Amino acid sequence: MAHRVDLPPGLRQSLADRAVASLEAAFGQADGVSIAFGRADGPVFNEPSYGDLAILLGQDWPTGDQLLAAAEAFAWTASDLARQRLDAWLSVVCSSRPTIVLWAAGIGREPSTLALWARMVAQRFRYWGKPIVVVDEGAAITVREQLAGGEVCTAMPADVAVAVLFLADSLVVPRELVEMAEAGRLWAADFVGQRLMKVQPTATGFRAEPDPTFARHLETHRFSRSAAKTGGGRIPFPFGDIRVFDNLLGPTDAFGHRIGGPLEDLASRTSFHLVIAVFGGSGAFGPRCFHDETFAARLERRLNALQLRRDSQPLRFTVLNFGRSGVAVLQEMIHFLLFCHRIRPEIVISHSGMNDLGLALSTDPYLLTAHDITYWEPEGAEERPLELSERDLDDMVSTYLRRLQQFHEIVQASGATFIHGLQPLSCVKQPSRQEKLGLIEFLRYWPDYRKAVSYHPRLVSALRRDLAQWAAGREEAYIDFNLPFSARGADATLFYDHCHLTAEGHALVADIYAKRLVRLIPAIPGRAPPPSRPRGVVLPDCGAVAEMSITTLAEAAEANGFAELASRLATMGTESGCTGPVGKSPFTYPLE
Amino acid sequence: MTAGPVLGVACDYHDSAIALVGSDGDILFAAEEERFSRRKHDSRLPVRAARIAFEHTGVDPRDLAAVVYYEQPLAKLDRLHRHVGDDSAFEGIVRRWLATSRADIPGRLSRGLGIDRARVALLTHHLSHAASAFYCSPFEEAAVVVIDGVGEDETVSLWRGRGLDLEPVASCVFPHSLGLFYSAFTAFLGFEVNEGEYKVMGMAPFGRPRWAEELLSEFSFQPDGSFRLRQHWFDFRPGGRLPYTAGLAERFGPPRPPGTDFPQATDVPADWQRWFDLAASVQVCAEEVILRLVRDALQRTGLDAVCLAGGVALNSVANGRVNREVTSRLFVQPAAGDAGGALGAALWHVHCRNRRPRRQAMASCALGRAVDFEEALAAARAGAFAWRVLPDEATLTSEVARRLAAGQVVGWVQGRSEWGPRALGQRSILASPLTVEARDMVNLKIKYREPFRPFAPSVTKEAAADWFDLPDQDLPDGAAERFMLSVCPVRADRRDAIPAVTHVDGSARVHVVDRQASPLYHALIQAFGRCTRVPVLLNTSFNVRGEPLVDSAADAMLAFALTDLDALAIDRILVTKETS
Repeated sequence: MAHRVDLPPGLRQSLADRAVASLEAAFGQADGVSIAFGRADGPVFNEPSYGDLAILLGQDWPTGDQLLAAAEAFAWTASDLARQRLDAWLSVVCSSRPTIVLWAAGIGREPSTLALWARMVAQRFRYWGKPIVVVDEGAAITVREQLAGGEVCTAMPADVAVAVLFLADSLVVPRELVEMAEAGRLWAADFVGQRLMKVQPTATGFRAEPDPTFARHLETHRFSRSAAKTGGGRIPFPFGDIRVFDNLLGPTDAFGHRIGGPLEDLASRTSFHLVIAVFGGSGAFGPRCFHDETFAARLERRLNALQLRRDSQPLRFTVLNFGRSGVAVLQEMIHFLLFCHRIRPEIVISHSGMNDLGLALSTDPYLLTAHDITYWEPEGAEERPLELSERDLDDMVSTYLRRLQQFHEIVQASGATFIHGLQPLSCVKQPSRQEKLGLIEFLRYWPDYRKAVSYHPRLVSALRRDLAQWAAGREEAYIDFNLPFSARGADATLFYDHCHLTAEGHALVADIYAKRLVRLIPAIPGRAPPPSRPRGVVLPDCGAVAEMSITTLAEAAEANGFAELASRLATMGTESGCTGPVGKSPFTYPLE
Repeated sequence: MTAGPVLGVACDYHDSAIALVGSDGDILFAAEEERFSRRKHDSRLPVRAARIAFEHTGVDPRDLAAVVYYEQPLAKLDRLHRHVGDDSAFEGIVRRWLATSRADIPGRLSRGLGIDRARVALLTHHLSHAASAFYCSPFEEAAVVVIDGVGEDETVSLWRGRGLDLEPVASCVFPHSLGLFYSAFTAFLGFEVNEGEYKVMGMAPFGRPRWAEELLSEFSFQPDGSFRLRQHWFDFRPGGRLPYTAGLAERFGPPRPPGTDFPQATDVPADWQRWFDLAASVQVCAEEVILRLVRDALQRTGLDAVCLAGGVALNSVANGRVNREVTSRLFVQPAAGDAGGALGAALWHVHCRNRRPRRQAMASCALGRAVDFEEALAAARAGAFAWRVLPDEATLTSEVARRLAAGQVVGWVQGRSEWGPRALGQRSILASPLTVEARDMVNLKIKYREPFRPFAPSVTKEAAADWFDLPDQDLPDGAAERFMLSVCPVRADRRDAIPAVTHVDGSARVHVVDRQASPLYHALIQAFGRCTRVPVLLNTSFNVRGEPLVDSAADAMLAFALTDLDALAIDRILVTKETS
């Protein structure tokens, strides 16, 4: 049975700072020992949901006393069982040097991220004298390139004493690692970017054996099971797509919404219990923030803390975060239709803007202009340019407004109140140093976004202009968050990158929504329970088809005179059984 | 023979690019994909660049006479198959090739650009390189030397160029490769292969080439013009191994860990001195091999002019020595790396296959997308900075020169972007060369790069000889100094005057600016000269750390926002961080 180490409440806010301080206090005086990274004021990286690296110790192994001091410093991370495991771990590492395990599963990972890990490992452990185990064939190539001389192997050595694990987003974990974890010999640290979040036994980090209570949503239905096996959890769903994954920063549900508990009870709530459904992209989801740091969670706490009353009865609020990264209003609407018909929220917030225009940049022009359709670019569709002209910008904004109006009307028709919050973008604000570094790092790791980000000032300007017109006569239904964010100076760090908010940024958003809702709530009645939900239907699985098979490649080699190569390819195809789709005729090269 | 423009394409290894050449041989457009995708060294199918080329030139892709790819993928796969370490590594390679349909270039070009696949043809890697150099050169006849890591099989090739024809003379095949030799030491010295080679070149002057002779003895030159490189220190097999063996560390000590901070000049640790010495030795060794190859090429062809291409031809220190010690009749194609293969492939089709007469030598590499006033205005309006429109170019140059003279660092975005890796006054960051403070400012707060990296000077053609010891003071079209591809000494009596662009060994990778080829940039340098009596500017590429050169006005505005640049001149618009 996996064991989960939960952090005591109240410590999350400053966890990274405390972790770094603790480690520096423990190891800072030892020769050659330093923290590999983890400075809270360093640049942040994208990819919110997965830890990146777990190297904590320096080139020269510290003394037992120093390690024990570190154990004390880490006390806040550990339950009793975890402490026992930590003690056991320390007793082992004090007597022998560990092998370092880099579990760098390549699925869904940016090569640059792998290279970053490998570089950090190489710097810290290059003279270690022990092999570095890379439990991923594909990643091993990158790691070998980066280690510059360090010994790398892909099989687990029999005499490994202890391992430091790098969490990654793979679902496939070698048996040896599982056994080590079960024996308490394996530890993991969760990092968000370079921020150390927690240290814990790794059993809970294995997606192959997810915590039965925490990650059960991964097993809920066939699409969530499939999604859990992909790199980022995004998978085609019969109605758009979903993104289901094991979010280390707080629970998600079987469709990737940041909703921790069951919704059944909400369907039969009293009229004094109001539900607010928040839709949006990652700006609402809250990557890099714990569940309770997101504006949706904060909004719920703030509204409940106000102890509002109606007919002398106390009002209770539940705020549901349906935010999902990369979605536009069109997809928000689809999920509203799919998941809110039983809950019937009193208030629906669409906190959006960025994705609609960002996705529109790469949307097929016909779909955009003729049908107001935007979508997440499918894998492999790399060949679509991102270009912005005046005509495109007008098309994009018009598409957005039409879909927003549609969402507004659908929500109104359901009897709920609609609020649109135009999400803030970092370009409207005088950046703090951390914001500047964050944006630089973001663009370095996600270069495809560079062009889109460069458009932001124009996009925001056009959106604000046209949304102001859209909101004329229904001012209470619209909030432009760019205004309050632009009013904050360079001393406030509200953004992690171009659009994602820090905990402080989320707090500001929650404050503004709370003020608006306090004005609106007296006029919003409670809802009657909805009709029961009909059963769904089973749909066929979806699969990708490769453009080219090993058979056609072998035939092409044969046709072009590379007989030996053709023979080897044909043998590979037979032995691996991965001949792929057939039916394409071999091509020949028109050589000059 | 079909009439119409020809598109050359290079992709799938690093630096994908396109070149659009008219049926008469005019280069209509040439650009690397990275400028538009904003992904440095982007190797993907260059569809963005191609579409922008069509848009810019008005060429309809359906009217293309041919699309010529710069190499033969199956021949490359065959080489990988013959040299790969084991089956599992080869399977990994094949899996990646299958996943990306890498071998099916006609199919991909057809799907990506809507081009009839029957019009797609393939050249060989080194012939593409050779064509890119020879057909752009001012020479009717020349020896052409291509040196890179490896193409299909060739690592070095020698050609005789005459009129419209290129004839192979000699070649050297994998694994005997000067390019891979240099890259192995690039990795050993802690830099990224295919990216950090010029950093090794920049490190070299800090060291003593105490191992140069020993390294040179690893090469044995053959009577047929090829060489062999002893392999005991190297492992160039595909499949993910490091490019060097443990023997290299046994001989030269531990490699430099990537990312290690550069030491202060006053306190250089022993390890660092060893790495500096190794960089110096590798550089000198490479120069000697290149000189020998060039001399051999001239001897075998009986000619006195030479064209260089391939990634190694970007080694501007070596080019400088060729220029001074072998022949001043030297042409180096500005995009000498793989991107240049796109241009060569298209030019070969027009000149050699279609027998169209050659055009005049390449005088400018402003061959990319243009930024105009309207785009500049839109970018300025969308930004959060103060800006104003200057009435004319004279005001622009005098205003920018005044700011540069006052110590400001200015982004300069004018006209069409550059073809090749060097910023040549179209997408440049400019500063005064008079003090080291400006250099340090650019290094640390704008480029965020290693402090040892030198900056290049731009100088007007008229004043060049007053400041630099040039091998040929006539500086004709095609001269390497016109494209910042050759290093020469700064005149001894001038070094103190321009410390920011004088490297530690007294050299500079000079960029000579011709009035006809770059009138606005020339005028700016002259205006700076009137302010300071020094017609020289510090010129470096306009990009943010880890990014390609900026291309559009919006790219420039974003880079301006992310760095400590003081001002930005896009077309006639001056953007500043001053409060109004």
